[in-house]
Amino acid sequence: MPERRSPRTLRDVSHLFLSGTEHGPRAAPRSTVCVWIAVVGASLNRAHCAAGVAAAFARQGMCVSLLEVCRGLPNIGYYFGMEPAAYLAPALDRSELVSGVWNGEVRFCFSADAAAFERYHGEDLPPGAPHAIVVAFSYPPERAAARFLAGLRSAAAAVSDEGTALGQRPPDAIIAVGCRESAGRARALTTGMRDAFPHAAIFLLADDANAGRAGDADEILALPADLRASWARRLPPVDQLFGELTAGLLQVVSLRRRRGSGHAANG
Amino acid sequence: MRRTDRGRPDAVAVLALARRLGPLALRRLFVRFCHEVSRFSDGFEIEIAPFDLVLRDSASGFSVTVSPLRELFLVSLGESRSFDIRVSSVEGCTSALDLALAAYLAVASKAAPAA
Repeated sequence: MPERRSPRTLRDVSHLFLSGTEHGPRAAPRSTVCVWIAVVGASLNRAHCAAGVAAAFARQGMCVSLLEVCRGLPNIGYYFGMEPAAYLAPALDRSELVSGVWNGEVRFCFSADAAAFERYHGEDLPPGAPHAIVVAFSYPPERAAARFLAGLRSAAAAVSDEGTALGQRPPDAIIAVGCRESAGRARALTTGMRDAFPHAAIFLLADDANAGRAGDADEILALPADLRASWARRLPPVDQLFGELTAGLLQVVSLRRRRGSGHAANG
Repeated sequence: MRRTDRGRPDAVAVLALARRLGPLALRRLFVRFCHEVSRFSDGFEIEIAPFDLVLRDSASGFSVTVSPLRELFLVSLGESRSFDIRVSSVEGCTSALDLALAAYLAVASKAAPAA
């Protein structure tokens, strides 16, 4: 088994990611990164991945808002240790919106209906800390994709405090999760997302590294075979994969922002 | 026993079986329970028998048997059917779904991923 390197922490990349320090910490706007997790097929555990990514961001000192369109169980409520009556509510009533806070670091909400997120008014974010918005869903959506994706952008805008254009917050990065059986759909997903969000960094997590070869992902990471060992635990997974993924993602997003602001300054 | 296509349950067959239940609310819970269990994974198949239905995941070997009676339905986890969960209310359905999900995840986490 190949040896994994220690994941980079927020401190290692914060000089790239955080901006506006010339104004002093009080005046600096909160840095926000918006990440979508699109899981292809029900055989991969969407909530497990989402909870792992959210917990990894929290370990890196970020405050996290996690939204999940949970069509199919388990959902993130299972991994954040909610009582069955709470986490199963959207399974019995599609319009039900359930929310909570995990460890004071991750505020989360989930519903089977993306439109329900309009009703979500989460806890206040701690001042100063960078903010990660994580939106998880299964792909393809059951109904009109364009409307569904617009709903996700609106949901992300609703939990963002940075001020968004037209109430829409597009993703900075998209994590596509696929398996060998769904390789074709995963490639279609990355290509479609590239067309829809050309400025977003696209990562592909696959149990077969060849699954994304013909796709349009910027980076491809292998899903460890032993990741599913923690599926049944009612806790967010703590696999090194998530630390490496979130650190790499922050670095890519920060470099793109720097390039973007550099072009703007030169132009 | 009739086996339906892989993936989504045969909705018509499930609805037909649900009619054995008297209360309409319980019929809806029965259908919802079968629907949610069948979506645990892409590999679930549904087998319809005269008096019950079996939801089976071919990848992990996990199965759930659901038997509608008049005022309740029974949920049995695994092939041994060593115990039944009696469902006659939303609370009962919640317990059955929670136990079924936990049992499925425990089985699936031990099953080797397809090579």
